Amino acid sequence: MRVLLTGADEFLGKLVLARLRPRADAIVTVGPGAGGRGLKVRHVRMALSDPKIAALVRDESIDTIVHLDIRAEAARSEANFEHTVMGSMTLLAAAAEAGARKVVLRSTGAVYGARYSNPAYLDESRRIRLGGRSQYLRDLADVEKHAQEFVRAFPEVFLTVLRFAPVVGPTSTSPFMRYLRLDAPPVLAGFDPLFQLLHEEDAADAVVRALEADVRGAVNVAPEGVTPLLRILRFLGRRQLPVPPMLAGVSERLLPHMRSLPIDASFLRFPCCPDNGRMKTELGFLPRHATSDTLKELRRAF
Amino acid sequence: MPSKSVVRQLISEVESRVVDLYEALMGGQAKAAFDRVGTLFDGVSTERLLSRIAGWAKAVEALDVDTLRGAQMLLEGLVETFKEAAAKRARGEYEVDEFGLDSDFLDLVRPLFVFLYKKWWRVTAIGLENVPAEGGALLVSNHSGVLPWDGAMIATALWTDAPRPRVVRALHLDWFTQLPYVAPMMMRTGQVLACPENAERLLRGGQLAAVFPEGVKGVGKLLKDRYKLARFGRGGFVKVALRTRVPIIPVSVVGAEEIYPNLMRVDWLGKPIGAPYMPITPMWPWFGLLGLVPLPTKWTIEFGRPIDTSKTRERDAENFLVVQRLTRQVRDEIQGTIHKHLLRRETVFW
Repeated sequence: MRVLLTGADEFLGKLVLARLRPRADAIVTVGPGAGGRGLKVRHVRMALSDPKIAALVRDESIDTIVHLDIRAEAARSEANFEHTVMGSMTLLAAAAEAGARKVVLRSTGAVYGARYSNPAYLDESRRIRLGGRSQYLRDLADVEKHAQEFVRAFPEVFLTVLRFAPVVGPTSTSPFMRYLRLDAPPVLAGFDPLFQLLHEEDAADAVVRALEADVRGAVNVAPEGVTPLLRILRFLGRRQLPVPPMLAGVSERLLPHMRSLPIDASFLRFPCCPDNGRMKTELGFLPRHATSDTLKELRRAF
Repeated sequence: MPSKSVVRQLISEVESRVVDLYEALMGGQAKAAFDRVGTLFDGVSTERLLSRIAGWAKAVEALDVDTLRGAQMLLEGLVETFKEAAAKRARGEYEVDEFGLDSDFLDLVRPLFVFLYKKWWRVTAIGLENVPAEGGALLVSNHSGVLPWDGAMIATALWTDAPRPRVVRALHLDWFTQLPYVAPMMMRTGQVLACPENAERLLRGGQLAAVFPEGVKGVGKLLKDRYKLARFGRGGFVKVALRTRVPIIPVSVVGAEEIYPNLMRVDWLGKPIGAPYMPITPMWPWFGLLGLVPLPTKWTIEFGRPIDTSKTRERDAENFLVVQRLTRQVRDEIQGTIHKHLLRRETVFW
């Protein structure tokens, strides 16, 4: 197995790299950052949207692409769009052109959107929502749409899109983790939505599992069990900042806290829990930590 | 105009409810004192009034030191337990099930529902043995009463009076998930948003789900339409039962349709707050929150014989004719049972 890995500078990429090292024959990390190094690992510094990436895939005879480099930023920025959307599209095109067999793409369960009419668990057949407030949700919805077309157009490539539940852990920098790390995480008064907490180690294991199982299309990656938001904050001893729900839209502009909120305020009001049925049956994967186990381990990180 | 005796009857009925409430709260000692307050106002002469106050004072004397001390200790114990529970919750040390049911919280609020069940509406539950002691089953009920108290009482019946207590997961309108404070409250007490995905998951998990196919048309029913069942949706509940092959149990609730006499619906008033309907009752909205106090009617809940769905064929759930036939059967059975109880009933209040 010769692997091209993006996002090796970030927590998930690091965890996946450590797992791939003993399994792979060679790993090439690609991205604008420092990347990985060491035994079997080589880094190529280039933008993901650079078309030269196709030549790299061919020259290195890459058969597996693991694309984890998603800029999960809420703020609008052309650079992030270029990186996440154009980068992902270029990588997919390179995979098809150079004949890679397998691509794993990182996405998030948040693409379903938090809505009042959501069932308790959302499966992969649910339509993804295009109108998130955060830039990264819009970008990922874009990428997902392109990925769906790709699966239809290039059935010879196994493209697996992993839609992760909120990934937390001591090294995680996911939007939900950044929300928990705020001085006083804002909550919407009178609302207490349910969340799943996916342990970062389990998220990395899911990526490795997706390389072994040949699944086409989207798979939700979520642990067993849910927990209410207020319970998470209380359990971790976080000070909460209750915001009147009617002011949520206004305060997004006024309160510095809400303006820099790493997740959309709608996720503090309504549930958005991915269903893990397909993960268990088709991916053949079950996270080792249930939501409440992850929460207990998370207490050490605060 | 109602006659004077009817008014008096109503007053004495409300009075006896209040006394029951008081009794439930404080135990027998207080009743004697309270009886006197209740009869205080029908006499007019000051002399009689004074003698009554004297009599009342005597009743207070009956509360001796030991009784008071006992009450104080009981209260302190209660506060202590409550403080402990509150501290545990503040530390986040509680678990919820896959739909957010919080058992500790449910235990905390259940006494209120038991009080409403036993004292306020004096519910008679019939046919509880028709509800299976384990495994999935779909309870289908008529819906009424402006606020969904009927669901709460069905759940309380199966918790307090059933041979083996079971938790009922009532499926509710998506309007409630938008209401601050109400939404988490409903979630913690085990109620779930009504949609096929949730219903199927509950039933496959071997739980008891309760649905109200009349939906908004039922709960927002006018007083003049009481006990006339509205359309049972599109039969979605039957589809779910056929797919999961669980028995359907028709449930007929009599008494709930008069708890808020809904005279008129001014739905455009509800629009700005996102409410699907806005009722006008003799008390709401004129008397504010007082209008939320339901009338103490007498209730009967009958659980009918289960309708077996285990022998249905593979694609029956997709066959609209089969679904429609079963929907009608369930609706007719509930309507029939309601009529039977209405004929037997002498008055609304007892």
